[in-house]
Amino acid sequence: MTAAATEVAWDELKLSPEDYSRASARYRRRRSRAGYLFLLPYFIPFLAFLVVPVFWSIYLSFNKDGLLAPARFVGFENWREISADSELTDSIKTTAQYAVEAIFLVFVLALLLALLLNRYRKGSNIFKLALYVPLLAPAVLVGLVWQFVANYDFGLFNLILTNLGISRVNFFGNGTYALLLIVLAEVWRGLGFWTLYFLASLQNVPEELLDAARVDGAKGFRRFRRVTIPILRPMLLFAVVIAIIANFQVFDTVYVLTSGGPYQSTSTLVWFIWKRLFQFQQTGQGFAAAVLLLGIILFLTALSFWLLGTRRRQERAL
Amino acid sequence: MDELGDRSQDALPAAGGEQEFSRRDFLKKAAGVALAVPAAGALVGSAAAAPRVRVGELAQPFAGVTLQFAKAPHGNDEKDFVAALLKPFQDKTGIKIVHTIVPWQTEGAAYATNYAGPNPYDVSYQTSTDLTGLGTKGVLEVLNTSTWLDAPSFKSTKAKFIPNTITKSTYQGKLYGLPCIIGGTVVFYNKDLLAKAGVTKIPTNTTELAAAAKKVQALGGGVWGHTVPLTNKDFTWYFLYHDIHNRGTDIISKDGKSVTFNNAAAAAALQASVDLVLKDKVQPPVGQYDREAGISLFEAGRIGFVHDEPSRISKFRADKLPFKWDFVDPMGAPGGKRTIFSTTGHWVMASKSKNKEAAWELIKFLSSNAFAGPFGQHYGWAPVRSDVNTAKDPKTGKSDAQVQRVNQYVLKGWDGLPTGPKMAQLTDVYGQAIEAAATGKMSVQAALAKAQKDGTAILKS
Repeated sequence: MTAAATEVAWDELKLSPEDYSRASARYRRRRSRAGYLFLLPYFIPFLAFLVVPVFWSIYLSFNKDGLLAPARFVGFENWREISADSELTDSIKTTAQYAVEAIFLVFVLALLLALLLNRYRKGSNIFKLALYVPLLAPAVLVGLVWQFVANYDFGLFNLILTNLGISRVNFFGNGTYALLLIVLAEVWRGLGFWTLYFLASLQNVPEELLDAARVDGAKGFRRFRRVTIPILRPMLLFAVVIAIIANFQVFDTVYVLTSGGPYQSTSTLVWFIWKRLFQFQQTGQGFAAAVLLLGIILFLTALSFWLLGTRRRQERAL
Repeated sequence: MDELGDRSQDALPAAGGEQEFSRRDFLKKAAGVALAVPAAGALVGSAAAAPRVRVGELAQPFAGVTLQFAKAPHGNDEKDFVAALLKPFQDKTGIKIVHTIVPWQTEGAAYATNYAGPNPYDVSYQTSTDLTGLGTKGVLEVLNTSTWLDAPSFKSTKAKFIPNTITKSTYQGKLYGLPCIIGGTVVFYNKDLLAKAGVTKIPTNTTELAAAAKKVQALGGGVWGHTVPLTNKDFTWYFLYHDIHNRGTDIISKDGKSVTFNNAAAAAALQASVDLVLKDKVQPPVGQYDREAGISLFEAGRIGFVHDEPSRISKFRADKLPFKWDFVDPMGAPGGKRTIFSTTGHWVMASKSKNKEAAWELIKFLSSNAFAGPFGQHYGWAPVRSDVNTAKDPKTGKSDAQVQRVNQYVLKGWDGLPTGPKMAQLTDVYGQAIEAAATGKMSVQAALAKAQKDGTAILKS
């Protein structure tokens, strides 16, 4: 093929702007189609088990029945009823208190353990495995284990207390202790996961940045606060969001350990929903509370993202 | 069909050599009947209905039918025990019964999800707390109709039911389950421990109980005077309700339109129970031992009096307790009545059941002496029918003196729970009030005032 012939050929191949736009759109559609096809196995269950139930729950929150009997539209009646129910407000407070305590405690402990494992790597696999094992245990089993741990007569805690000369504690008869017990059970269960998560995050902190800080004279804690934490911030945000979602839905440990008692002091939001839906057949109230829970989680998630965005904007401005 | 059903007790297998029919034989015979009847002219309409058969004429009239049967258990051995009692019925009728054990703690969720589906349990057991809640949602068949309970052929059997059991279980003229057992509660006591403590007279009312429990408590060494479930999780309201009746009141008005948690008599009943824990300190604090732990402590000889259900009789017998024990009916109110309380157990039929006639046959069998007699004897339940004897030991054929005594207590002073669609929620609120007062979190008056407010809101919703 000669040079002149090539030029002619290129000329012939030149597309008008409209043709180019059409071809480009066709290409993008073709690529997107393949992408959507790959997404389909996820998208169908996502629709069936998440999107549809969410909208169905919202719809049923404005109806009476809908589970055993046909739904009857009642407007905001369910919302009025649950907002007047002191058990709901108590449940929200208890859930928030539990979530704050559990998230704070598990993050502090997990971060500490992750820092240790990051520093002392020899034999760390054994510790990682030991930390992770509780996560593999079903929540019901964890609840049963902690029932024994807190047993009045032969539980581990009371054995330690009596050996220290302190009188036994009736964990299940005191609301504060009962909630603390649920916090500890959930922290014990989640500690391995969060330790490994933070460990993976720490291993992504560039060594050269830490070295540079070291050269500049920054000591250990200062390096951690000024270098490690800012780099970890996106991972921390993600962790906070995930932890909020998980902890606001705490149920199984409550169910096994305390059944919401004593006197509703461990009654969480999901426990409230479960009772309304399944024990009392008050489905409308149950769905209204479920939608409220969804709203709370969405709000807290948005708040977390907003706070991170604000911080980033502040950093850029500096 | 009704002829067969009314004689469910007769549905036991005849002795030896009975001819067996296959499903094909049955269908052939049924087809024959279906063809012959239209020829009779006037009976054309009924020819389309299922063929009516008599147990004496045709063995296994329901061959090929499978019924889903569900029940929360009254003991760990219940599945095997029930299977043995149902076997003759299955052999005779050809009905295959698939028995599902539904745990008490999750029965609300289990039944709600099951009845929401297309193939619910054909027959299940429901207490009066949940019966009408489910019934008014339309998932249970109304039984007091001319098809079932009020069928002429069932009239003689219906007459044998204790009227109060039917009345208490009927809501706005509808009965959603056939009463089958009356529970009750009793107070077990450790005779050896009482003798050691110098308790010579078994208490008859709550004041005497507190005094006797104090004497037992004084023995020391980790011994407690008394225990009764005091948490909502352990259905605490169930064990206080008799005292509410003893003091001449109730938790709901007769017309079911208002709650009556907060009155002087109800407060006195709750105060007497709370005092055992907080004032007299003869009962372990709430949360220290749950209901099962309380039973274990009694079995270990560490409790003088334990208030629980008669179903513990068979357990105490099986466990061969290392001390002498006995029981009495629940304590009366000082200067008041001495009643016994229980919810009633019912056999219910799913309104979506595809085999209602077979389900009704099963329900009738379950309420008959062939089943309810030995079942009641085994778990210490009183019968709801005059022709059912739960005090006869089927193995020895002799009378079981302890169960007979339970029956006497129940039949002389039983008072049941009025049924209603909100009863599960109301008893929960009442249970919360007991728990709040017994933990000392609220005074009795404050706890009942809150229960009154919450209960009123529930009835309005």
